[in-house]
Amino acid sequence: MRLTPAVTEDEALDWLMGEARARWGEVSDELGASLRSLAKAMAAVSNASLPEDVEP
Amino acid sequence: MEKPYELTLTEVSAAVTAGELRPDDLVQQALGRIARYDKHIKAWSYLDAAGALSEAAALTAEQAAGKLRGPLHGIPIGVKDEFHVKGMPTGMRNRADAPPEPEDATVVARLRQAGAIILGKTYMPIGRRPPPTSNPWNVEHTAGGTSSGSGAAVGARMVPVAVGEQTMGSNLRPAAFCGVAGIKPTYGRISRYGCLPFAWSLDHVGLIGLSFADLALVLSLVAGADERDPTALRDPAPPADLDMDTYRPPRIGLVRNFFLDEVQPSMRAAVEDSAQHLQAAGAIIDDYLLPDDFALTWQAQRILSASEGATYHAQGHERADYTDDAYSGSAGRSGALVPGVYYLQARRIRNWLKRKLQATAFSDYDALLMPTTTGPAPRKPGTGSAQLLIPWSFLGLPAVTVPCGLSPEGLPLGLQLVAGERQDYELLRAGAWCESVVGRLPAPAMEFATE
Repeated sequence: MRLTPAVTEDEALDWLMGEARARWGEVSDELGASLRSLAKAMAAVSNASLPEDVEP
Repeated sequence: MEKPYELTLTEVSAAVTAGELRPDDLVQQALGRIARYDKHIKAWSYLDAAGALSEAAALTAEQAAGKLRGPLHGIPIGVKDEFHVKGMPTGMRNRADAPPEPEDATVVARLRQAGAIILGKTYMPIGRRPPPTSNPWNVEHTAGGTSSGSGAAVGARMVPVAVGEQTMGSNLRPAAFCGVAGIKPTYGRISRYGCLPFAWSLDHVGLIGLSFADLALVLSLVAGADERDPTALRDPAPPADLDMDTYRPPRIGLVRNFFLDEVQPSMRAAVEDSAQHLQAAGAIIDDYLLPDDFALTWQAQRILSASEGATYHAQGHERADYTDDAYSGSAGRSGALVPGVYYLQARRIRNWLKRKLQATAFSDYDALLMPTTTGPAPRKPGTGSAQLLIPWSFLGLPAVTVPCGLSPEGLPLGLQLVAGERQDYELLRAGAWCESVVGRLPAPAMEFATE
């Protein structure tokens, strides 16, 4: 999944669901809820604007 | 001395030093209160009564001979069931056959070195099972998150201090819900060696106690470098003496965005009322607005906790009998899908926001003020919200909770103070000053225990 250009929540969720199905087969309701929460977080992180010199 | 359980840790320590209280009496009293109240509260997951009494006898003999091991000589303490305690199983391993641990966690070893008696392990909710601990102020209500047993044990005056841990909100939330003080120090201030992880870069060893002097005393004994935890700060431990005689009232930024909008009316009123009292007592209090990108804290934290939790539990995820139900959210499989670039970007966000706040809020103010929780402890089975605590756990900045009265339902409320990185001692001083203005809560009545 790309970090830039920024992703939308829907793009992140589609990607996560595809990865989850490929790895584990059917996605349970609980896993689906967790993936939706992650997709929201990924979209926010992807859209963040940071100075170049900030290191992890 | 009739009711030593009403004394703070520092008062008990002074009494032991003066020979006015004996370790065996202290342990007997603690065990008596546990026997009376814990069937209703369920703060303790493992109790080593025989071991504690044996140790207390030895420490009493040493006291009589004029030998004290340290400031915590003979004082019984609880430890969250996430930490290794030699000879006791660790409940967080989530195994019915969990063996006794062969050694103490560093924080436990340092408490013992100071003379403390480890009475047992305090409950934490495991996986998806409902947390068993009830609030000593009203047993129909929760005692909070994963350090709920520690919060309840101190709130019910079974022990004067307990060790907890916070990854999102689980040390300060139980402290606030149970009407006592708590600190989540700067990340790394207390070694995590021997503490089972939720998320390595988010886990903070915390303390729950009856007063800020108590928290300062214990922090002075357990903080400091540890070769076995490379993330432990090499700074010397902060001093125990808060030197309040020389303290000037703090400069405080009352956070007006992100936090107060989320809270119940009684919590909002308590914050506003407390701020007025603090201002009347001499604190300089300004309204403060956090930067807009502070909203990233909650989302970046999600990325880190999911990734790190999934890494730690990776072996369990491969088991044929694995189900999502077996683990709490941050330990589920979903975190294994987070791309590396997102994990690293979340860490960059952390450092960027920390840098920004150090240059703005924490250069202008001794502490930022906001509620600890969105309201008083809710009814079980929920454990309440960590929403107001997550950002400071994510950023690794020190935070404390100061009891600030009761809700209309008679449940405790807490003020959260946050300071700049490594400003733990200064934050404890600010907390102690606020405590002196708003006062401490008394012990709960606990009339549910009729005998």
